[in-house]
Amino acid sequence: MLVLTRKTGQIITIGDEIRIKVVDVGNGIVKLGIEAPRELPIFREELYEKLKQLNRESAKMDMDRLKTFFGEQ
Amino acid sequence: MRGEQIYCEVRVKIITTRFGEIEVDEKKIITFPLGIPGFAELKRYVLIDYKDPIQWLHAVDDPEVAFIVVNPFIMFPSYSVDIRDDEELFLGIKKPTDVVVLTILNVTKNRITANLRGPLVLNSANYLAAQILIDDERYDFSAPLPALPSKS
Repeated sequence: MLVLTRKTGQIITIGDEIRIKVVDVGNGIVKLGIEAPRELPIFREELYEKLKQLNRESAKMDMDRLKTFFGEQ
Repeated sequence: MRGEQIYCEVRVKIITTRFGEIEVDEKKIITFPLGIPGFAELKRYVLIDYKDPIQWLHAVDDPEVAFIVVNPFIMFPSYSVDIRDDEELFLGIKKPTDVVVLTILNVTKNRITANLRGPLVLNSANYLAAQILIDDERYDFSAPLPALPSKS
């Protein structure tokens, strides 16, 4: 992994289209401003992982379970 | 355009494990340009009515992948979804009235939860859609459903 040191207000560019700016630093928290092409989804990783895992579970629902839940045969 | 429309409906066959083989109007196919997280490779879906207000969002290109979805505002009247400008641009949203919000339900043995944190946003004008993440911790990934929807 490439590790770069930056100060508040400084920017990292990735390719021509992605810019990540250090907006604020303090108390162990870094605030980042990100500019990227619209088709690149940007997520906090832990939330994205949670969403993926939940979606995988949700995609497996079967009809019987839903029917049981709604009190049908 | 009006009056000169050529009515040509293309039916697309979809193989599903839950509903068997179904046919849908090609125009009703919803495109998720980024897929749905966890299923990035599946871009095309269709909505299948189940029991109002429940629908299935079924993958066109995988017989097994389908989500149970519902209009969240029916069950969570105070729920609101803020769509960011970049998301609006991405989906080509021009009018708020074109936006359809759906929430994925997760049914386990004894409870049913709604993913209020990651709603599906559909632009009904162009059938483009995406799952977005709401930056609001009041909304849970697994919010218990307050009451069953009316059966009638």
